[in-house]
Amino acid sequence: MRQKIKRTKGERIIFSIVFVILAIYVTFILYHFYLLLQLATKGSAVEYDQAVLTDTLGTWSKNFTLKNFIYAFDAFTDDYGNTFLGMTFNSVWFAIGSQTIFLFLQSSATYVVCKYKFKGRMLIYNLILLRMLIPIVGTLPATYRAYDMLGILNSPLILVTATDVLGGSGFLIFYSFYKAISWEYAESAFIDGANHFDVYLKIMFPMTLPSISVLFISGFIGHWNEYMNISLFLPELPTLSYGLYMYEQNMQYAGGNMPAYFAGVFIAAIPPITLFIIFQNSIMQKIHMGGLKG
Amino acid sequence: MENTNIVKKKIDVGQTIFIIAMLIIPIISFLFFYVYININSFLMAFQIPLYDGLGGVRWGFDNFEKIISQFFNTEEDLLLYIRNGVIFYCQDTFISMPLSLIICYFIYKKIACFKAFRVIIYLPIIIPGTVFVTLYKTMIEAGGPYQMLCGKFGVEPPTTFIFNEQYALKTILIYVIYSGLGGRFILFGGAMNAIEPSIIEAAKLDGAGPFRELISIILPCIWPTFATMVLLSSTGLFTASGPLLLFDKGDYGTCTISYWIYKVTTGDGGAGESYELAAATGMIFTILTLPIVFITKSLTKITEDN
Repeated sequence: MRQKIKRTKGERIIFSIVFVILAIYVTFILYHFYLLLQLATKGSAVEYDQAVLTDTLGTWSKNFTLKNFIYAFDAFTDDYGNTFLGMTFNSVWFAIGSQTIFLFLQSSATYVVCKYKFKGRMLIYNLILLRMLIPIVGTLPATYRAYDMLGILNSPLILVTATDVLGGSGFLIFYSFYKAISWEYAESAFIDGANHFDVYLKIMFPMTLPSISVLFISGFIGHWNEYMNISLFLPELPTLSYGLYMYEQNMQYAGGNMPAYFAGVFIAAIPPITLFIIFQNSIMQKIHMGGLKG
Repeated sequence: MENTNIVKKKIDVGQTIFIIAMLIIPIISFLFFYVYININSFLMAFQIPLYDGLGGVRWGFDNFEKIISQFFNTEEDLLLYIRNGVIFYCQDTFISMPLSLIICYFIYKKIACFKAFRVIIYLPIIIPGTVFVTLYKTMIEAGGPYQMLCGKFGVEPPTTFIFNEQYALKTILIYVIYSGLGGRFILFGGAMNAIEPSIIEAAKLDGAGPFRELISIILPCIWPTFATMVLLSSTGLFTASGPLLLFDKGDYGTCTISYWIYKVTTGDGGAGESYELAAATGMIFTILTLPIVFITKSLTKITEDN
């Protein structure tokens, strides 16, 4: 049963004012999607161009159609022959692959640094913190050359970069997870004959799965939306996000079916929104990050 | 690293194998993707390409001389890039972060429709930037609803807000602020949810109003998270490039150091702007950022346990 929150008169006034401000703000955000539907359902590319000239893009079309959502699948084909479905596939393997590799390795490495005492432990810990604290500017050209040297540009092998896990706020989040888990679970398991791998894989890792799944989803969304790194390292295997950007850029010079483009934009937004709506409670409540020491 | 449960054994082969197995890939990766690349970047800063078709270089300080001379030349773009980086940093630290904290607080306090607010404010974060920026541009540019609205009120708006040096930066700043407020919801929300309810109850019994509660109770309780956010924001002073690629590609007075380096890497940097020059620029700005980061760190007095 929902508990009613009691507030003083002063609080009610403040909360009412904030409520109105937030309501206006979210209405503005939602308007983007309303506009997107208006744009994606224009009768034709010609009608779209006319709407630009008459300032009526933000109105419903008299020739309302949903066919643009079908055209979107044909409209997006880039210079390398990647279709809309191909780009979607690229988004899927890139997002799932990167997150799976990254989270498993980061969880494993952080677990060891957090729970075990060994030579070099503090060095690793401090290097991670130092890496977070010292932002090295301008390594992009060197990074590009290194990737080129490895032969991972424009290749699914780019996923190897997800193994670079010693750094970032994810380390702090995992560190908080493992720090909060009692070592008594491990000691009991050792007494029962478990080895270190058993303890990690069968006891510790499963305990963090709810939080890891949340990190996975938020990371998946981040990778799904990635476009700048894709433009540098995977331009021949574009993800949907980058493909949409390229299509928009090409249209500025060569023209194209804008309603179909916006239908594609609409489709591209569906997976992250769906994932978020399903898991929003977990995403918002299960992540906690500690501070930095050092 | 106090209060950590630590396994203490003198000789444990199984444990050693386990530690090595868990760390070997991350360490190799760290050595290549961080150490090797940074050393390479450092060396590149002292190289001057010969453009001899063979990839030849000579060594020297020419890149640094070129950049330092730009610091004192107001006609060069470098000062503009620095100014823009500082503007974006100030926007993030002094506008977006406090606003995000305040909104997060009211959501935490379960303001009416808080669940709907939480989801909708977070939407711009989860949908592709390419999608949201396109919609924002359509909204304000020719033919869009803003132009239609201006027409109805008899106002003559500029023909473009983006490809226009007078408005481009402001237009992007407005976008970054309103679309990014949900970005810190997860960490702020997580930290607030971890506060012991009895602390909030005690403050309420003492008559603390919403803002008093936020400043005197919530903020100190989530300080490690908040301070880390401030610190990470300062590290982005010259490394964050924002959504410039999706707007004007930095061509209308909006470019930052980081975005310029991106342009150089993509081969779009302009005549005489090489990878090596970008690496030298990066090195100088890394050195310039360090005191800012450490001053921010000491100001926020970040410790793991406070």
